[in-house]
Amino acid sequence: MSSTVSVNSSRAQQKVVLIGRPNSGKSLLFNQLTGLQQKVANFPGVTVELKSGSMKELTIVDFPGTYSLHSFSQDEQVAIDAIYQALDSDETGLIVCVLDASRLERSLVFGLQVQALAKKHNKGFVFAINMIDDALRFGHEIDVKGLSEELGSPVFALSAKTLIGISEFQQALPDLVKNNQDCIPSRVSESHDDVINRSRQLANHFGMNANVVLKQQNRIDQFLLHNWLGGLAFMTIMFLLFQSIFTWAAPLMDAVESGIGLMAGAVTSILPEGIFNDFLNDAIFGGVGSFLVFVPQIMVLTFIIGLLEDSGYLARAALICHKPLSFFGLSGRSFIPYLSGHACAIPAIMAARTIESPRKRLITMMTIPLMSCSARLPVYALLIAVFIPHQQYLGGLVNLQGMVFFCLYMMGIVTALIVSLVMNKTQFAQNDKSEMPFILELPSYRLPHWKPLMYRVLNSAKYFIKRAAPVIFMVAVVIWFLGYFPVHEGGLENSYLGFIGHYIEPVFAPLGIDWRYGVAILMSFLAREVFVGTLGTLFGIQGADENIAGLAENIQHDGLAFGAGMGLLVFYVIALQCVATVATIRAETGSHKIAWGLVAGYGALAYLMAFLVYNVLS
Amino acid sequence: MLHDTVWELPTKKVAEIVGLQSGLSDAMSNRLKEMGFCGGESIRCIKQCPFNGPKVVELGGAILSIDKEIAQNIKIKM
Ligand SMILES: Nc1nc2c(ncn2[C@@H]2O[C@H](COP(=O)(O)OP(=O)(O)OP(=O)(O)O)[C@@H](O)[C@H]2O)c(=O)[nH]1
Ligand SMILES: [Mg+2]
Repeated sequence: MSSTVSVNSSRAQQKVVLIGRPNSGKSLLFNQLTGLQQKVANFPGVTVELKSGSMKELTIVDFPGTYSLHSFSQDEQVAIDAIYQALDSDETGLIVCVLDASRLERSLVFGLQVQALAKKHNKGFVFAINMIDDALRFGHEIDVKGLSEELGSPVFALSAKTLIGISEFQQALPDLVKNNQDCIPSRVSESHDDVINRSRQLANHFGMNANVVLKQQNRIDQFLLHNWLGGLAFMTIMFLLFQSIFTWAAPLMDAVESGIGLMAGAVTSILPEGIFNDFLNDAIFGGVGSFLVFVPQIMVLTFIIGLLEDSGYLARAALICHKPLSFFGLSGRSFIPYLSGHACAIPAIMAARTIESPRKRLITMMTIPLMSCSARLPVYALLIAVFIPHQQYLGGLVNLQGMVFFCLYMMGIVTALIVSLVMNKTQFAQNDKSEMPFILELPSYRLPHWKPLMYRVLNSAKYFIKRAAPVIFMVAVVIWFLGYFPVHEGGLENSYLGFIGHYIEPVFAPLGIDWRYGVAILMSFLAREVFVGTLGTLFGIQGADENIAGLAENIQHDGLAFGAGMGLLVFYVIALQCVATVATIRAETGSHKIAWGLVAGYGALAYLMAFLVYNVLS
Repeated sequence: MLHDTVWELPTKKVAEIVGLQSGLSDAMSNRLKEMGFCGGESIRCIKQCPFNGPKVVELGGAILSIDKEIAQNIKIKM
């Protein structure tokens, strides 16, 4: 997952480190310098790990944003330690402190502290004032020369978004690194109070008038933070988010499905009849194909989450949710990892690092797997297509299938809240009572930057395919061989797979499903999407002679009971079936027990709930 | 003399920060100063979330959201 380019120590590449306050645009600048695509979003605390990349012969390192050199929480300490390490290291050729032109005073408070340290460690140091496009928009031009003289360090004014000043900065870097002894700060602030006073003076003299910027923000906030209008807006945004995954993606999904159908038809009609033809038809088109249909949904989901993340709204949502979430033992900051957990749990668990309180962070991490991640989408979509009629209300604005989708998402969230509440009340998390106060800087609203957004959308599809396709392919092949032999004519029941299946049948009988679904569930512990692929292959073998109808239709004809189908959905909402998530939880908590305990706990809960749902509904 | 704190500052009103309560830990008061809660700064309350939720304030060109615990530790002069 990391795009880190390892440093070749024999050639001892010089490092240029980018540090600064959270949300000052370090990662976007890093991306422009290196051509890599680190995550960029409009709220503080996006980057949580050091990331490096190369720009010609230099190595550029992107740091997590820090408000200060005096740590406040454990994870901040990790980031601050990394800064000290960079200051000590001989490999560090230059320190670039990124400032936010629209919040100069706040940026300088941190910048001046680092500058003083750079002088102490004899390191070359420059300021990069980012976001000057924002300043220019309000007609404010920064006096780079004057500021540089006052600061005693070189200053570059640039915009990582509109690329003003980027190429100049890029060209200057190698020389600055080479002659880095020339840019050791010439004057620094010694005491903490001096830093604060000088920042204020410099910002008053060189910075832009803050009121102009804030006026526009406040107008939007008046609505979005309004007591009940704001709450309504929040609900509407969340509802549209989940609804649109279904409605917007539908036409694209249909297109992919018919594309695969056409291809399957063409390929299998060219090839002679026989085992190989059957194999292609069942395992490849049936198994792998049935899961590719869901790629558009994942792209739409990523697009909307990306839009929200880059708009500046998320920090507001976190603040609106702070009080309600505190009731469950979480923080307003838990909202952002929860939301991104709907795309994928792994980055979300990492993002929980920005939650200051260790206890709240732990509870957040442990409940993120209950957010319906994109790997569940195929399972949800398939079962919904089987059981829920395609009906529309309010002229297509609301759609029944989309509503059920929304309910499944809500169910995951509600379960997470209940689990949090229970964990918060039990002994388990009580060892650390220290409550960290809640303080959150609200970023300016911005129009999302389309390029990283498009990249993210495409990348999500690529990642989804790359991650699941090989597993699904392998499972499809194995399942197909086991299900096709020893005698194809005898039907699935008489195959090796049927033989194995009868052993596991009793486990799944209480949920109202037969062994084929049982096999699919077991296989989906490799990756949830495998459920769909496995069923695709199995139904392919059974109906090898018929047309390749959609998998949903096949299941409908097969007669899966409504209660059993709903039970399956509930099972997938709750169960933790993702090896990578378990590994991430283990790494972040440092505990095998927590990680595997969650698998067992959520597995048992999922089974129990599915059992209840099946029995109530039938 | 007992000062008012930011927690008492009504919505849309402006006040001047006098300083921080003395009971705060060093780490906490340093952080608050770095975030801009210094004596002499003027602070404006933008919003008070219902049910004693966080306060949103404008301070030194930034918008910050702070909970009751922090707000009660910042002394102001209305
Ligand atoms: N208008 C404008 N926006 C920018 C500029 N640079 C970055 N941004 C936006 O600012 C936001 C924050 O950018 P990031 O690169 O994620 O900030 P960061 O400093 O890495 O933040 P952390 O990782 O949280 O420390 C994003 O929404 C960017 O699109 C710029 O030069 N101009
Ligand atoms: Mg970053």
